[in-house]
Amino acid sequence: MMTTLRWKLLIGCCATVVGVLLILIRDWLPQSQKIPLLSILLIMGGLSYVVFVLMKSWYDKKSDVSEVIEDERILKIKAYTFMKAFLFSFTIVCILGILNFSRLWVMDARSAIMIVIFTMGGSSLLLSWYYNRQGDINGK
Amino acid sequence: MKSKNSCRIITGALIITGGIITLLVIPETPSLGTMLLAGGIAFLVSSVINHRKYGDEPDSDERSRKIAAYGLSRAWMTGVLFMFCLIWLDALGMLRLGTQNALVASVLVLAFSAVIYQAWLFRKGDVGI
Repeated sequence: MMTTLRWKLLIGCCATVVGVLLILIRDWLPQSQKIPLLSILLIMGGLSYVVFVLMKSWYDKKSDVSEVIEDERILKIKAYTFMKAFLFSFTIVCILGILNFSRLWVMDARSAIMIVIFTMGGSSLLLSWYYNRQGDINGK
Repeated sequence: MKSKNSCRIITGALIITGGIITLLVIPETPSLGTMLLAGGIAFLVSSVINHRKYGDEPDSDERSRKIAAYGLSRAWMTGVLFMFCLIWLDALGMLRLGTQNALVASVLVLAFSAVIYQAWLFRKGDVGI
């Protein structure tokens, strides 16, 4: 069985390799002038992720805090935070769909997706702050 | 009947009424009324089925609530990744989606990923941390 750390490193390395491969085969792909930008994003993202994972693992090993940080309570708070954020975002996507479908609020695709991304991020941040302030998830 | 189910049945009935009124008052946009009708019927049917299945007994325990929470939190992450992919593909000009298509794709990815993660976790039995 692969450990979580190895999985994370594998994901980062795969993103980097895909980025490099895209640059190498860009002449055979459609929209070839935009491939380098996508490749750079993938390579930067993959390498940053690998460095972040390695630094976090090194920090956890050095300070031996991983057991203290990732306890049952915090994992439960995380799960409930993202669950509520998911339900809220799903409702917002449905409302946006109804508004757009009935021509009450006409918007372009990029605006709609940006609204959904900010809703997802914002709701999870707010809920995370709220539940961490509350201390625990009780009776929900 | 549990208060949760009765609330859902009342909400479903209200949404259906809203859908019928919308269809009668604004006949030029039948899609809105149809969507409200479909949503209301889904609410009503699911709560009636839930009541017939569980009655006044609790319909979820600690394990199933935990699985539901973890499934939905993973679906949230999948949704965020999907949205970022959509926005980058759109920005790079590799995929041009209309607003309706983008929203429908988002709803489908969010809903299906939630169902798949929850089914997988229920099949596994518990959430492995």
